[in-house]
Amino acid sequence: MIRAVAIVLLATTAAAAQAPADFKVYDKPGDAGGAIIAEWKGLPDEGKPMAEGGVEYVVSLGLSKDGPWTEIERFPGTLHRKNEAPDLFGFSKSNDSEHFIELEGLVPPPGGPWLGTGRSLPTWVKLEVKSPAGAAVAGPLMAEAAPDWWSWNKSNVLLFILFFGGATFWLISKARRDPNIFVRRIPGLDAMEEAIGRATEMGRPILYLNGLNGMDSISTIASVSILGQVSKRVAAYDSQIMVPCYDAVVLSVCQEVMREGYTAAGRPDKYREQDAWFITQEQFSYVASVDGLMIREKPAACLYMGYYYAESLLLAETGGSTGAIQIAGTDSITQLPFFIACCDYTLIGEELYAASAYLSREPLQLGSLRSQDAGKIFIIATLLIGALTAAAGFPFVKHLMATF
Amino acid sequence: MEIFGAWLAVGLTLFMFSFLYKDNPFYKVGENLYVGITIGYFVIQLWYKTWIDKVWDVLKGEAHDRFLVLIPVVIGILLLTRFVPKISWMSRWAFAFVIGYGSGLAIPATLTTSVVIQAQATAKPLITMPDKSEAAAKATEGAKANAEKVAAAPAPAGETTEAKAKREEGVRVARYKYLNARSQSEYSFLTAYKDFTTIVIFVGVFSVLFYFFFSIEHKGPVRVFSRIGILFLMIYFGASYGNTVMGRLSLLYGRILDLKDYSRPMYGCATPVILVLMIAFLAFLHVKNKGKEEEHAA
Repeated sequence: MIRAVAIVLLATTAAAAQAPADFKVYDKPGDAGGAIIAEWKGLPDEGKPMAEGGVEYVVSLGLSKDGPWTEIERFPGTLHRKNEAPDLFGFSKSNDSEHFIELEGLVPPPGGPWLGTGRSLPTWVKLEVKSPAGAAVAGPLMAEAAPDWWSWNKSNVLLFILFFGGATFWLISKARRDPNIFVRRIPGLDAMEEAIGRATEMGRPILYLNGLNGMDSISTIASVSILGQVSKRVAAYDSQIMVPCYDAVVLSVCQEVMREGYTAAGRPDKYREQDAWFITQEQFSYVASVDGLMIREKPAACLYMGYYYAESLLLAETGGSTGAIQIAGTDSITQLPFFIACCDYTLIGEELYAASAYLSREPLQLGSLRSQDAGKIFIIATLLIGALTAAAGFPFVKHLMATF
Repeated sequence: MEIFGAWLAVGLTLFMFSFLYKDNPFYKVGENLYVGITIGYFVIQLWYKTWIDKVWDVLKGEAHDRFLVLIPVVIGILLLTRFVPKISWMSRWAFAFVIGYGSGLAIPATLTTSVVIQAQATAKPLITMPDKSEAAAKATEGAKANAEKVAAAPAPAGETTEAKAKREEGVRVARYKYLNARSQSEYSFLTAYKDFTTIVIFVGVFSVLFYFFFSIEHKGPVRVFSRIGILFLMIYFGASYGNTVMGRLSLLYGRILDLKDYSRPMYGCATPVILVLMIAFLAFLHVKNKGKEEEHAA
């Protein structure tokens, strides 16, 4: 990070007006470049209207100390206080009486930015103060915009990730030593075994959908993980599974996961790559095709795992009309009501993430399930401490949890 | 052309609606057409918006870093190695990359939006302590005076309905501002209502978290809290269900209005004509299939 913090240089042009103290100009910290910050301390009567002795600030930019200057913004003393930007200045009381302005759209160095770094040419900033008593100028001061490797205002999130990540690793290693971890009953997952058995008895396939998100979605990752367990059981029962996919990458991952499931069940010869296929990447045409498939193939069980949008009701209603046993699992809170209304069992939110651990009983997944619970205990404790400390007038928990 | 468009829109809408009767040739035509068109559309989109815009044009450009675009291109090409069994293992590198960056993006974002922000919003005093400062009292007095002034202002002569509604809205806003200011300087009904809301949210978050404990047996107090949690969830789901169904109905009204619109002679009475033809064909198909079934049974 290149940070140019300059010392106060005051050039008062009118004796009666007062220039603000501690005028500073520097590269905006923790950004991707392209912006600089100017800050200064407020003047005593700046909150008053101009006619009653208030002030007006005028911020100008230039590419040299002697100008020419371009006026960027003109505002009264009541605006641009530092308390409006806790992501830059924190929650200090002094922010109430200090000002800042973020200056963007700076001139980049000639030749274009290398790797799009968002650097700028050295930029001079001048602050004029206008009041009924006259005018004063602070600066000009120079700074250059540059990108930063570290965004300090996101450090709290990093700390939480390290905390939860550390807890996860520790609990996984604990689960490896003692895999007999209690996991509460999840009826929807118990019913999965029943659904696969039913499909085998009826000689009909199982329809498995991964939702409409790509592999960058946690719910899709959870869904694919469950598919691994389901295909293991399908292979063991010598049943048939159909996995129509919405996303080509998800399709490829599903094929890999299914192949591994069949191999783990000792039936690699039974794996057929065409059991998972791509339909289209348009929401309602995908639904039209899957609905048609349901009506024609009449699957004995429909499993909807992953993230869904407006198509949830269309899928679950059609599946219900074919008489299939339906199990849904999603963390899409807007679609959960539809699955609850139409499906026999629904995994609500985090139950979807717990499903794979529940089905596989693998130490790795059990450990991570335990760490989720540890995270919840941490959140409950935070809520209690936060509410109590806030009631006592110390909102530090609230400030600690601030995200930007 | 307009008439052709109307017939196409009506036809395809009715083809898709025919699914409500049962799977039939009309629905199959609609379904396959829909899937085919969207795939064609996406191929063209990918070609122009991804390959041309994001790869070809960048490589042809003069930016110093233009060749960096080849890294994702190579990763993308690795996915195609799945078609060659001998080297299909290389596609796993691409998947590893996709899942890796996906998790890397999703974990901090989910932690921020679903955990930290929620916890921050919930961790606040359950009972509001009135602000007894002079400034708060002054603010309440000011808001009260303003509310009274706005309420007492006479209606101008010849006031329109719109202006009257606007004036009444102004009175309500001023009154609310006063009540809000008062709720901060003294313990009022509004303060009690706000505290009640805060407590409900707090208990809701607290108990729902208990419901999602997996490695702790749900018995004793944990069971009580988790039961309260599921109650909160179901109340939310019920409200959300009703809200969404209302939205969906408005979409249905839109389609029905279009069908009604296209019934007019200027569109060649598209809706009734297509509807009658479809019903006739489906009835014919039904009779034909029934005859076949009876023959088969005999």
